[in-house]
Amino acid sequence: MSLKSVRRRGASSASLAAALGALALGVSAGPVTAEEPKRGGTLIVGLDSEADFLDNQAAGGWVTWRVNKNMFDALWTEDLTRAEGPVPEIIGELAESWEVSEDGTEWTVKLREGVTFHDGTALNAEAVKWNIDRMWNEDSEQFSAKANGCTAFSWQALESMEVVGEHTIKLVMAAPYGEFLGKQVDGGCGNVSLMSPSNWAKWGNENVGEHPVGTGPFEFVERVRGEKIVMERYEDYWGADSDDPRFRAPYLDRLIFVPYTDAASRVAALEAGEIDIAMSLPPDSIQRLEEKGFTVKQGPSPHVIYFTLNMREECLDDPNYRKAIQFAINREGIANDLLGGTALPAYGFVVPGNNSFDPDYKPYPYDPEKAKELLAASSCPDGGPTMTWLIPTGGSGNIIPVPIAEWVQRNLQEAGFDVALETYEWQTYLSFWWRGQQEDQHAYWMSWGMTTPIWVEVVSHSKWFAPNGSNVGWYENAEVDALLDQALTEMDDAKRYDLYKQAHDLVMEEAAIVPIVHDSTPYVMQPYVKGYVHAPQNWQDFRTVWLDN
Amino acid sequence: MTDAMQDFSRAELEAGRAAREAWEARAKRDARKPESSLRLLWTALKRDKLAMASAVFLLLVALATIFAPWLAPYGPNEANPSLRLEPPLTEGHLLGLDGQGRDILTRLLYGGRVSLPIALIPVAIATFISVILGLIAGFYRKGVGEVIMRVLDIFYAFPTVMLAIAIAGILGPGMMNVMLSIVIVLIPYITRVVYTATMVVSEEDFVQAARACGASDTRIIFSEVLPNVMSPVIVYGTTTMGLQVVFAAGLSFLGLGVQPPIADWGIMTASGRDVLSVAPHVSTIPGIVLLLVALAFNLVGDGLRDALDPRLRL
Repeated sequence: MSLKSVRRRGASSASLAAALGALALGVSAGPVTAEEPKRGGTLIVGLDSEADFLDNQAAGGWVTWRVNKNMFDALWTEDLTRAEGPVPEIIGELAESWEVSEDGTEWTVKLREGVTFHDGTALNAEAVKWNIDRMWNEDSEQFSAKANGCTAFSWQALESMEVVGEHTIKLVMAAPYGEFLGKQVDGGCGNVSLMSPSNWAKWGNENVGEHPVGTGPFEFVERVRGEKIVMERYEDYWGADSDDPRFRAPYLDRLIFVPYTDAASRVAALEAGEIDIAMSLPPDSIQRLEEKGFTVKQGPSPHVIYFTLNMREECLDDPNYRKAIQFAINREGIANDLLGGTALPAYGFVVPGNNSFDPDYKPYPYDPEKAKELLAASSCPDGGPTMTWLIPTGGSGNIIPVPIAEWVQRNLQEAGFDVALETYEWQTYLSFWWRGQQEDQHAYWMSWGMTTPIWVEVVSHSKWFAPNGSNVGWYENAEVDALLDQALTEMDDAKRYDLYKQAHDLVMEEAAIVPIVHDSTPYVMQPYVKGYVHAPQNWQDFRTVWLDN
Repeated sequence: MTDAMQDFSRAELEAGRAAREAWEARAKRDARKPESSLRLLWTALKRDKLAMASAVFLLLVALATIFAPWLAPYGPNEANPSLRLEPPLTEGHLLGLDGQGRDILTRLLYGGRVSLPIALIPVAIATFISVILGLIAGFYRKGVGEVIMRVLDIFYAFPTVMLAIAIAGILGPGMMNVMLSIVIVLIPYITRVVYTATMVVSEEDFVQAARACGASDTRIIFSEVLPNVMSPVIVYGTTTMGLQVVFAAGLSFLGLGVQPPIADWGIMTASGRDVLSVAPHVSTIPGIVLLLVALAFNLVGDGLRDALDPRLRL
C-alpha cells in the first residue's frame, strides 16, 4: 500500500500556531484583554428555548448543541476561541494528529493520551470505535437509530474501522469524502462527539441523555427541566495544564443554562440581572440594551433564513415567475430597518462563515420594476393564484419570523403577487417541513446553515427529496446533482469549494431558493462579562469567558 | 252588630276584590307574550347607567369597525418603514406605528372587523345549538337527555383553553377554524345553562297544565318552556361574549387564528410583545381596546341579569 503520509496540523505545529494566535489576539484586542482574567464565578446563560435531551449524538437543534458543546469533545472541532473568520479553523480536539492516504480513503487518527471522561473512564481507540459504532453500526449493542439519523451525513463514506493501537484508530472510507472534517464539526442535529461507554452501560440509549458524560471542559451537575442545566469545570480536563489557549481550562467555576422561551422575558431577565448573557433577543431591544451599557457581540455566522419554492406548483414552475419573486424582495430593508442591522441581507443561500461564500454574489438585488417586468413575461402575468407561504411563529434561529414574512409578503404584493401566510408553532411547523411541500403550499420558511459547503448538497441535491432529506421544494437539476457528486469526492479544498459554489450559483440562477437574511446572532451580556469571543459559528465556546465582578 | 257584620263583609268583599284584581293584573301581565330580547335589552339599559354606557360604547366600536374603510386614515397593510415603532401622537399617526411601520389606529379599526365577528358569531351559533340540545335534554331527562349530557360532560374534563387550542391546532390556523373551535367549547357550557333552566321550568304547574290539556311535546317545549329559559341564556351569552373576544384574540396571539398581515386585536397585541420594552404602545393599545370591549360586554351582561331577575322585576 503506497501511503503517502500527509501530516496535517500535528500537535507541535498546533501549539505553535496557537502561540502565534494568542500573540495576535493580545495585540489586536488591546486594553480589554490586557486585564488579567479572573478565575471563578458562575455564568448564567439565557437560552431561547428548552434544550432537547442531552444525548450529544442524537439530540436535535442548535440550542442543545450550544449546551452539549461545553461537556463533549469530538475528534475534531472548530477553533471558536478566535473571532477571526470568515470560517473557523478546523482543529484536532481529541485527535492529536491524523494522516490521510493519498487516495483519501484511509484516515489514521492518533488520539491524545491521558484523556479521561468525567466518570474517570479512559479515552482510547476502543472508546472511539464504540462511539462510532453507536452512530453507524446497526449491529452494535449501543446502536442508536436517532444518533444514526442525525449523523448519517458525517459517516456516509465510512466503510470500516480498525483499532490499530491503544491510541490509534484507522477509518476506511468507501470513497474519498472531501468534507469529512467539515461535517465532523457540525452540530445541527447531533454531533459526532464522544460519550463515555461505561456511563452508557449504566443508562442505555433511553436515559443516557439525562446523564451526559463526555471529556469536555465542563461536567454535568444537574438538570431541572424547564428551569436550568447546571455544569461545573471538570478539574481533570485534559487541556487544563495546556498553554494552548484553544484547549485551556475555562475560567468559570460553573456554567448554567436557563431557558427563557419568551424573548421579552429574556430581555427583562437580562436587565434584572438574573442572567449574565442572552442570545436571540428581539432586534429592536438590542440597541436600547447597548445604550444602557450592556455589551453586544455579533458577527457573520453560518446562518440563513430562506424560502424554498415548490417547483411542482403551477406558475412557480416558470423561472421568470420565480425570478420576479427574487427581485421583488427588499432584503436590505429587512436586514437594516426591520432587524436593525443584526442581520445581513442574503443574496445566496450559502452562508457567511462557509468556504464557498462569496460576499459579492448578488444576482437579485431589490428591483421592483424588474420584478414586475419578469412577472408580466411569465406564464402567470396576472400574478398567479394566491400563494400559500408557510412560516413558524418562533423557534431557534428564526429571529422574528412573522414580521420578516409580513415584510416579504408586502414586497411581493407590491410587485403584483398575492401571498397568504400560514403560521404554525415551531415544532408543528417542523413536522410539516420534514414531510416536504404539499400541493398548494407554495413556499416553506427555514432557518439553517453550516460552515461546511456540503450545505449546498443538503438543500438542493435531488437525492435528498423530503422525507428522506431536506430538499423540501422538489428542486431537481441533473447538472447540479453532478456537480455536487463530484464535489463530494474531491479532496482538493480549493477545487471542492469552487464546485460547491458552481452548484449553488446554478440553483440561484434558477431561483429555486429565496434567501432572505443571514443572522449575525447577537449575544448581549452584562458589562462584567469579559473575554467572550464571538466566533463565526452558531454555538460558542465559553472557556474564554471570565467575570469581572 | 249587623252593621259591623256588614262592614266586615264589605271589607272582606273589598279585600277580596282587590286581591282578585291584583291577581288578574298579575295573570294578565304574566300572560303577556314573552318579551323580545331586544325589548329586554332596552329595559336593562334604562335601568342601569353603566350598562347603558357600555352598550353605547360597544355600538360605537361596532360602527367604527364597520365603517373602517371610510374612517381609517391609511390602508390596513400600508407601511412606512422609516417611521416604524414611532410612538402615539406622531404626526399623521394618532396612535403611533407598529414594527412594520403600519398605522396602529387604522389597524385597530380594521382589526375590529375580525376580532368582533370571530367572537360574536360563534357565541350566536353555539347558543342556537345549545338551546336545542338543552331543551331536549332537560325535557326528556331519561334516555336522550342522559346521552346528550354525558357526552357533553366529556368536554368538561378538558380545560376550555386547552380544548380550543387542540381543536384549532388540529384543524390548522384560520378564522373559520377558530370560530369552529369556540363553538365547540361553548356548547357544553351554554347547554348546561339551558338544561338546568328547562328542568326547573318543566316541573312548573303551567307546563303540567298544558300537558293535561293535551298539548304535544313540541308545543310544550317551544311555547311553554322556551320563552321561560331564554333569560338566563341571553345573560350568559352576553357575558361570555366579552370573554370570547379575549379568547379569540388569545388564539390569534398564539398563531392559531387569522393569519398575518390581517389585522386582529390579538395578533396586534402579539406582534408588539417583542418590542414591549422599546415601543410599549404597539402591544398595549390593542390590549387596552380588548380589555375595554370585554369589560363592556360584561357590564351589559350584568345589566341584563339584573333586568331579567324576577325578584327585581316585581
